[in-house]
This record gives sequence, C-alpha cells and structure tokens, in this order.
Amino acid sequence: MTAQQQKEEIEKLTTQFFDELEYLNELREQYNELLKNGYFYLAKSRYSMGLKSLGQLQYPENIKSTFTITIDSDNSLSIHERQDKKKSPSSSSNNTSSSSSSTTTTTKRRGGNKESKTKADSDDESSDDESENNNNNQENNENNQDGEKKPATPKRGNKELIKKDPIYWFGIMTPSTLKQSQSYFKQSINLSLEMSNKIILLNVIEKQLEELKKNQQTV
Amino acid sequence: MATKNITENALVAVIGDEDIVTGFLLAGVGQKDKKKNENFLVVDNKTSQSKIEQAFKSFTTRHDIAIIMISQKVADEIRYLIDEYNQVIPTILEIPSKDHPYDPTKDSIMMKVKRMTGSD
Repeated sequence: MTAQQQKEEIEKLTTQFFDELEYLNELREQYNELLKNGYFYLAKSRYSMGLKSLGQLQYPENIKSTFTITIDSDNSLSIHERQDKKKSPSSSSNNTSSSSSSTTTTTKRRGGNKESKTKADSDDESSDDESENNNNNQENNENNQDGEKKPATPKRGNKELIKKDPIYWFGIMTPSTLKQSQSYFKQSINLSLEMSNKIILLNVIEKQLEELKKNQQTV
Repeated sequence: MATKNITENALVAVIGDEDIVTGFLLAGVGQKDKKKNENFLVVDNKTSQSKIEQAFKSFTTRHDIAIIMISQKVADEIRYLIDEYNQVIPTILEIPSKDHPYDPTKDSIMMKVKRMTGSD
C-alpha cells in the first residue's frame, strides 16, 4: 500500500468513525428520552401503589431473564426471546373436550406438586389440591351443563404469563402506568443493543486507524 | 483489543439505583438463581464502594454477560476501573438516573473519542 493509499484509507476510516459517532449520539438522545419516560411512569406507579410496593422487596427468589443476547462472529450483538425448553409435548392434547382436559390437568398438577415438595408437605397439600381440583371439576361440570365450554388452555396460558411477566411480581392489578413504564424500558433495551453494536464498531475502526497510522510512520 | 469467549445466551447486567434496576427487571433483564448469582446490583446510600467494585469486576469477568448498564452516578464512584477497562465485550453503557441526567463529558466513550481526536 502506497503512502497515498494509506492516507486515503485513514481519511475514509476517520469519516466513517465520525459518522458512526454521530449516529451513536442520536441513539443516545433517544435512549435518554426513553429512560426519562420510563422513570416518570415508574414514579407515577409508585405514587398510586405506595412507596414500598415497587422495589427490591418484591423481587422473587428465582428470576429468569425473558430474552438472551447472542454474539455473532463479527462481534455484533442480537437479541432473542428466551424459548422455554420445558414445554410439554402433550400440549397438542388440549384439543380434547373440556371435561377430559380438565381431568388431565388435575393429574398433571398433582404429579408436579409431588415432585417439588417433601413427602410430608405433599401429603397435606395434595389433599388440599384434590379438594381444590374437585371444586374446579365441579365448576367445569356446571359450566358444561350451562352449555359454556371453557378450554383449559387460556387458564394455563394466563398462569404461564403470570409466571413469566415480571410485572406480576408487583401484583395482579397493577396500574396502567407500570405497563407503560415497562414498555419504555423494553424499548430502551433494544436501543442499548444498537448502541453497543455502534460502540463495538467504533472500537474496531479505532484499532484499524491506529494500525494504519503506525504503518504510515514506518513508511 | 481484548475479546473473550462469551456463551451463546448472554445477558445484560445492571448496576444502579432501585428505580433503574426495577425498571430493567420489569423489562425482563433480571436473572437470579438459587446460588444468589445475580446480574444486577441495587446501589443505595449504604452500598460501599468496594461492593460496587466487586460487582463490576465480577460482571466484566463473567462469560454470560454481553452488556453492562451502569448508572453514571455510580460509574463516577468507580471511574478508575471503567477507564482501565479495555475489553470490547461486555460493552459498558453509562445511563442517566432519575436524579442525575446524562453528562456526555463524563462518559468513558466520549472521553476516549476526545483523547483520540486530540481535543482533550
């Protein structure tokens, strides 16, 4: 590479560097705005829910992130929704009639409880479960008699959602402002990923420039 | 430019006040297991500097973290550590908090750019 070519390359990289920096600054402005709105709606929610109802006291013992980040070969980051590996293969059996599906859910739930709890606890609580499930069955039967068919999937879906969505850590009936705040923070995560990619790119350009400048000095 | 092998399912770590952490945990960032391995640190008046340093060092050495979001106010307390940091991943993002707006003159990336362009 001749000295002229090197000079041109340095100029090109410098221009690219400042273009990327400008774009990063634009992203930063958007990001700050999103966070500002997020904090504002969080404060509003705290005002309506009570001072101590939105804080670290409400964080559960076990938390699992709802998304993951993968790093590509060129060091760029991309975000992915976390897939639940534990999804039951028998989910297709939900198409069966409501009465039979309700009985299958009861047996599953009983089995699940037995696995996770100690023997003594499970004996006590399984009897509670049985009575609860009997009540559920009775309710289902009543519903069937009335002609209303309620499949078991929405209930299970709701339970999974409650388990998965962090907004339910703070209660079932949370104000809409908390939902708004959550949405702003979610958007800010997407932006932060974009910003991280820009920072990585800036680092790469910086290194290339340093190398070129070193070569230029030796030539 | 130091790089390291990061696991496929990387996370975002958060260091900041309660509002920042609660907000990002609401968005689904949080991870905490039975061994109390967390990817967030709530910093309040009682949190010591050494605890922040420890958390920062642990997040930068962990292989399952791709981005560290740190409140600029907290970052000021461990500025020397952030300036020393020269890895690409995890990337460090300094974020504003409710009481302390973002100041670009303090941001480590902007400082780096200044040094590079010679305007410092």
